[in-house]
Amino acid sequence: MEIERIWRSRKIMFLTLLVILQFGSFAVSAAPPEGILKQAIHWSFSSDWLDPATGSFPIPAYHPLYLFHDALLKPMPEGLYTPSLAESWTTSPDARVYEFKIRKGVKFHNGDFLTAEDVVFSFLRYKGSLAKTIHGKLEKVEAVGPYSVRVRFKEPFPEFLEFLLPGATTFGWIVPKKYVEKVGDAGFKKHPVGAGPYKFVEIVPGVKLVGEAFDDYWRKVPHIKRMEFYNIPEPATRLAMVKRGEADIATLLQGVFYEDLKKTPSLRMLAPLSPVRWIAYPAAQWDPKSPWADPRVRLAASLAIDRQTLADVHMPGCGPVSSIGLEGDPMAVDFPPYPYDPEKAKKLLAEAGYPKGFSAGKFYPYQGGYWPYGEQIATYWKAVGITVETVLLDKPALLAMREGGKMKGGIFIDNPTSPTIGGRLSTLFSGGSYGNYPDIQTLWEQYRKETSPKGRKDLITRIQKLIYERTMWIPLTSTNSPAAIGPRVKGNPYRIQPLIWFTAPFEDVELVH
Amino acid sequence: MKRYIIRRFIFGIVVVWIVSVMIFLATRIGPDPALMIASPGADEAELNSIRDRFGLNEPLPVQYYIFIKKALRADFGESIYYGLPVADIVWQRLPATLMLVGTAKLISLGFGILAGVLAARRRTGWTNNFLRWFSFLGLSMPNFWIAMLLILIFSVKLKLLPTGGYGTFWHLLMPAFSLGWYFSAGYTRLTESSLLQVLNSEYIKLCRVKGLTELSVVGKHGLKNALIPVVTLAGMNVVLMISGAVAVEMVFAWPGLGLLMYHGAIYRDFNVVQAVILFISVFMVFMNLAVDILYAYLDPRIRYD
Repeated sequence: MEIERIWRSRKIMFLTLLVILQFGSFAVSAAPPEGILKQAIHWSFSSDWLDPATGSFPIPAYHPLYLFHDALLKPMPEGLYTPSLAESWTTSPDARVYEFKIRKGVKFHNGDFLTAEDVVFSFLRYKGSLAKTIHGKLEKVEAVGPYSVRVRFKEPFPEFLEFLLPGATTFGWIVPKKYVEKVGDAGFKKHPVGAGPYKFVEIVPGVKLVGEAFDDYWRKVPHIKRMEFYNIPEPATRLAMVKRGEADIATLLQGVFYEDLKKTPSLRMLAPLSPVRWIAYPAAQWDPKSPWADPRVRLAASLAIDRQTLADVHMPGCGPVSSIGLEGDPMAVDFPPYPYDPEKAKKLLAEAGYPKGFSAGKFYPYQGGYWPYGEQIATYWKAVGITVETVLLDKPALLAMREGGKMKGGIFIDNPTSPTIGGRLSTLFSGGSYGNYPDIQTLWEQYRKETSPKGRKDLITRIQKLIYERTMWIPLTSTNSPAAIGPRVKGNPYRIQPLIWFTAPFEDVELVH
Repeated sequence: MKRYIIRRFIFGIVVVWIVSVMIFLATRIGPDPALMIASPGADEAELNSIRDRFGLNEPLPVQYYIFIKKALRADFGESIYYGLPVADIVWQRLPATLMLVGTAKLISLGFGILAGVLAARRRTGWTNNFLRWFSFLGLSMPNFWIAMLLILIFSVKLKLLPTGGYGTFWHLLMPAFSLGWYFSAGYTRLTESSLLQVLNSEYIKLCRVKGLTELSVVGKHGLKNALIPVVTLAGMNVVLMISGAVAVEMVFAWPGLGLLMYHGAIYRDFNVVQAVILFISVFMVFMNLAVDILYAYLDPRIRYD
């Protein structure tokens, strides 16, 4: 009897355990993805963007990368350098050796498991932006185990991790070695396979891009089964599609479309910040005879601008900025914004010897859709006596002139888009530089060689302070990309602002049930 | 006639060659396309790498020679922006444009001829007034404006038709109407004036004297001659329609050659722009030849020597 009682109680315990385990597994496994999300977007997809190893990557190109692929580290809601395919990494004190510990159990869409070999292959295969720079510095890349990769550079390379961020290179985005070797580069571009939250379904370049949820994505199972992105160049059509319910999200609605959107109660307006920080750069300051060489003149030009109104009119939801660094960048310094003080501006001009103002040369606002922004700045300057000759150029002509050094003697609106303050200063101080102050240049060169994080932080902080004190350039406003959000979309799908202004992470986007 | 066709064919090849030179030079006058696709702040090494990939570092005559040699094999190189063979992209987009232009042509001819006949038969009254105003509106309003109005009314307000995109007959209706309305106005006026002229001729009077029905007189005997200038115009208008489709395709995101050329222009993808314009010019040359041959068939008085 006693034995029977014991067996019965053990059976009950065993059965109870089974039930708990079963219930537990139900609780742990996510609901399967469901639904379709359609977006009407303003940019056009290139097949080049499907392969991280090729092509150059403006920020929209990271859209298919975040969709189909994954990287060792990437900006996420948690931070700029969020570990992804790499669980962690170490840097040697001389910044020559980086070791990445690869996450175990990560699958590619074709079922292959990610190993260190795929990482080494992807690194060596890379031929995109700044490939020559990186490969020139590279001494060796090797797998030091199935889940560990060591990268050794010929010389200290303290900015290497910055180079892995969007806007710099796609060096750290990993593809499956066996699959690429089997299908070749052209085959991979036709049907890419990655480790991202969505599997590639279809691309019609310039028309649409479709992805389907990857149930084995390491981070989480996406909520939405299928994502469809349609390139709709005309903003009126994008807005109409969302109003009619043909699309759930319509991107980049500015001006009258933004006003119309505000009057549409069935739609929400979200305006994800973008990584662009407008500055007015007086290239003429490097000419000692130019009025712009006087820091009082540059400060006056800065004080003459009503940045909040500028933002309210052209970038609703944005505001003044005082530096080109982005929120979340640990190396960027925030300064007090320049106030709007036209009276002080006039006084400064008088002190500098221009009581009646001066003719300030050519002014190049940024491309096409942003001309009114630039023209408003010209109007503010005219009000204090700084008269500019505004030259309106479209983007290719503007870039050609800017990169060709043909804006000497003028002022242009610039927007360094590198992901970090270091990258942005590099754009302004290196290659396309119009000039620099000797002390700032010295500090910059020290910064480039400095390997200790504290030392780098100290140097770059000093550089930013000097730039601010001398008004070396005139920070303007942040920028955003107003979008219409339909009633099916839950919450805010833009979670990696300001660096990523599309709906990422895609696996986090949800539909209202 | 045979000699005429051969002459026109040779002339057509010369025209296409001249167009190829002009478009080649025009696309290279603008700023460096490498700047458009390079990462912001790209160094000279990266820009050169892009230029090498697309042969932009070669001297212009060499670039032209390579371009023409490949074009003769229907190879237009790789799209600078899309990273795919241009020929593949053009072939992918061509059916959509043919569908749009074909439907717009049917709408414009169908409505235009019918309206023209009605206008010719009822010289006064509300029908004639309505048709005149309808034609006038079609000629006055830009097609992209018509497109936006149609979207506002039929998609947004009435929710009857899809806003944009491609796939079903309903997607085709508004783009085809936007494109075709302008041309229908021309066909209406031309059909009306041509038919009025024909209906005054002696053979038509004879038809009436013989007791033929009015439907037979107008429909069978009158229209056949009245439509000759309309056919000529319709043939020439096909090319205008293809170029006019750019704005319509952009508004409706209709994935045809027009939208492709728009993207090619804004992204400085000159391989795409060259290919599309060459295609249109070849199409134009042969369309004009076809119209001339058809003209001779319809009007036995016309002979080419």
